[in-house]
Amino acid sequence: MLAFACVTAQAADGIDITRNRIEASEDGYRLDAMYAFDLTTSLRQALQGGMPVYFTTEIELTRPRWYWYDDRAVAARRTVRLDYDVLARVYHVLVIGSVQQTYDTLDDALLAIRRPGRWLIGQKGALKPGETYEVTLRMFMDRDYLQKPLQIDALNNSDWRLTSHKKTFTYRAE
Amino acid sequence: MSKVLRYALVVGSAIATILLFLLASASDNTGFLARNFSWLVGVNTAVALALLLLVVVYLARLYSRYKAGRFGSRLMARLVLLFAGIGILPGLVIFMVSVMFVSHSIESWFDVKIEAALDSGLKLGQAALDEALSDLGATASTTAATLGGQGDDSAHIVLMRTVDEGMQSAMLLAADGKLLVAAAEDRRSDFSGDLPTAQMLKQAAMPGGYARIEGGADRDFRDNGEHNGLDAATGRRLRVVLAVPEPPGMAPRYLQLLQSVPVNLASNAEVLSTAYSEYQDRKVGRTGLRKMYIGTLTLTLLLAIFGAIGSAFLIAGNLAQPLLVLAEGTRAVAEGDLSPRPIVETNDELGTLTQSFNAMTGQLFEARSAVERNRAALESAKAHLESVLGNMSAGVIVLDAEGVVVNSNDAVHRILQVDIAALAGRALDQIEGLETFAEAVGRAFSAQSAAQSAAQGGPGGASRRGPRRSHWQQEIEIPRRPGTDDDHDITLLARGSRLPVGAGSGFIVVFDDISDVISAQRSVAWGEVARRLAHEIKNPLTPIQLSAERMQMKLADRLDPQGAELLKKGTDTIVNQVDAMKRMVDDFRDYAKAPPAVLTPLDLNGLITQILNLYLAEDESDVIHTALAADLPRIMGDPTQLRQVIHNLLQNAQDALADRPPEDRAARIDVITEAIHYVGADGGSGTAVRLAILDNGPGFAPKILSRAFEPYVTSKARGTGLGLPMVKKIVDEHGGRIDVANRADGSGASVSILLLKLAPEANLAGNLAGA
Repeated sequence: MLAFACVTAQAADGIDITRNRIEASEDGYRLDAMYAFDLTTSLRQALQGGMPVYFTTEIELTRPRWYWYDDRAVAARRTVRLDYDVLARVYHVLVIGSVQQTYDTLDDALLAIRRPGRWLIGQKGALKPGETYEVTLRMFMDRDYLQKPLQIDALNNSDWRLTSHKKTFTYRAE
Repeated sequence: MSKVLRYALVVGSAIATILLFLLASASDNTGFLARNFSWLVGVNTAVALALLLLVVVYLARLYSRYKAGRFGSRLMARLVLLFAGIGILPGLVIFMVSVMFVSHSIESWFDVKIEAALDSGLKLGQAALDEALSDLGATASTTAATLGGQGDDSAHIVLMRTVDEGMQSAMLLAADGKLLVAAAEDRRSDFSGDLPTAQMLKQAAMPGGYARIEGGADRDFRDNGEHNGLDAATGRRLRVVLAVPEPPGMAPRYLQLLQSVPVNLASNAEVLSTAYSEYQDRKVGRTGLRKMYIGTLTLTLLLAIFGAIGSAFLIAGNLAQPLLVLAEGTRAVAEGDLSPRPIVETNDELGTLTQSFNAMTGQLFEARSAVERNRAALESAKAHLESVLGNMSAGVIVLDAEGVVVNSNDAVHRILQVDIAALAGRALDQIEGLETFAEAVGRAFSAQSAAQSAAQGGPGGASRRGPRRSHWQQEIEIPRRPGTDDDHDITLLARGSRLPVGAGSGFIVVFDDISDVISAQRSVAWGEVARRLAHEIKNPLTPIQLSAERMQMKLADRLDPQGAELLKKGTDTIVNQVDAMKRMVDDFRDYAKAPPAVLTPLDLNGLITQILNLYLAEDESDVIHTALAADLPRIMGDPTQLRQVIHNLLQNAQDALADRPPEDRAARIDVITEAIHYVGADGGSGTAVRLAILDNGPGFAPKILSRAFEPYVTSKARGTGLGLPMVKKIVDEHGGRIDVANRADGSGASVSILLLKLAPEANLAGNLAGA
């Protein structure tokens, strides 16, 4: 709990990517990532007022080529919806295009977002084994899904901003 | 530059208007525009900045012109301020009101009471659902207690009974989640989708069991489709999972009851929750909304202001331009530039004004050029008149009523030897040397006036009006001015008339030197006299001579020697004198009726050389020197008469040199011929031959000089005075001119003959070829 507090303190108005790893599995390549963040007060209140909050993860694997444009091997994007059912007083976490999870508490729901399951980002043949790829990973609260007045407000209000830096690392395909 | 700015402004304003419309439309919460709202805001801001830049450029230009005191900048500045003010002030007022309105109205939507009511309603809904859930939990506990220890068949009956109480389904499950017995409202239903998860079973094992409200509208579905509480309510159900209290030794079993929330309750609760969520959304978004509205308004205001200022520039420019054109025009007219100004193409009064202005300058220009033309015409006429006057051989003097010289021409100076131009403004009788002339002129005018008065028979006053005889004419003889060596009088033919000069009347005197005419008349008269005298005298001469000879012949023998001697002397004297008289009479006759010249082509140089043979001794003692032009054209002349001319002139020169005192320098006579090129009256060039004979003797006496060609005027003791008149007569017959003068340096006389008739060109050419 103390460590978690430290992490959140460091990422006061943002998201920290605490773990980023790509694993090769039988059906393809999966991203194993963990994020550290906490909702801002405004976001939390808006969420509990019934407003859904969307988190989007973007990942891109490129292979630098000195003779041509970089080879964009994989570019994937996944959005997760977090919302609160004011009648049933439960939190739903929905990975768009997948099933909905229900949590009694916000922390449980956030934990599901902070530590998502391994995400299949590319099929088996998407990467060339042995090649080194540059991975760019980014996770942010997606403002495109906010209502328009909030989008305007977010232009100069950090309460409505929650985003990570672009994290880049290299991955040697297996 | 200005045109570019102008177009930029117009285009910018148009773009701004379109963008503003889009922005305003985007404030509605839907569609494409809503999604591109930020983009629109950005573009609008950019346009506003561009307009601001434009306006700043305009203002800077205006300011610099104003500072430099450029003409028209003050008017422009005032107009711009005026129009900009008119544009900006209402905009500002509307902006203020709108901002207040937006701020307050948005805040007023969010009311504590409404919020509390929605909160309470939500709690009510939650309570109702909780109530239903706890009811279901109670039913479940009762059923579970009944089921405890019973077999599957009896359990099925219990479950059936429970389902009949309004359950959707009732299931009895093993600890691993396997379905043991199930009962459902709809008997054909498939239970697999309703099986509890392992987590639920785990929680059910805990005291209190698992009780949860499930379902609810899917948010995505709710966002995309039309929201309907009934549709949403269908998914809402209650699930209770409990561990069945089994007797010891039996495997644990679980009871699950599923019950649909009553549609009535579900739909109302759903509507309530939706309303609550939306209210919360709005509440959260109100800051953004206000920002959005105020931002849009501010942007609109800025665009309006910049547009207003820009338009102010355009309007002010359009309004000021005709005025500036006119002002420029007035300044140009003041500087004398009357060229037409560019016309302002409008139909209003300003356009008319510029057109009138152009018409005015056009008329001014016409008037001024007419004046210029008249002046030029006058000047040229005056110049012409002056040149005519100046080149007239007659002298013209204009006098005013008091006899003061107003004007005179060059001929006056030549004829009267008085610099009368320098004396203009003085009375004629005050001018030294002209007293006689002035007196004669005055007398003539008086006489004319008197004659006129007499002719009209009235008093002098009446003669001022009515026709007058226009002029008088009179010969005036005035003495040469003292100080010149010419003591001969000048004979003038003067003609005077009155003329109006300015306000009063004046006099004009025109006169000519007719001394030459008088001289010619005298010459003609002498010729006639000579001819008659010769005739009358010659007749008795022969009888006188014959009588004298006869007397000597008859009486010589009869007389004594003394008497005979006397007779011989007497008759010899008579005969000699008669001979002399005969010669004289022959001379007269020759002068009076010289034979007409027979003109043939003649080489003048050859003739001169021939004649000079008689005079030249070809040694040092010769006084005659020749300078004969080599390329002298042949002339038309009578060799005999020309020979006489040359003889006469050489004789005169020799006579003149004989008279000179011996101590003087060596005597010398020059005979010169040359070809003279002149410009004829018809403008073509002509050639003449000039023969000049010069000596370095005493020269002509002034009195002789003026009348040299009159017969019997001679300075020689024994001359007949017919030499030069003869020469003149011959030269006249040859169509030439003769001038006698004293040499300019005062050493001797010069006679110059100009022969104008040349031999035809063909002869000349043939002659040249032969040579």
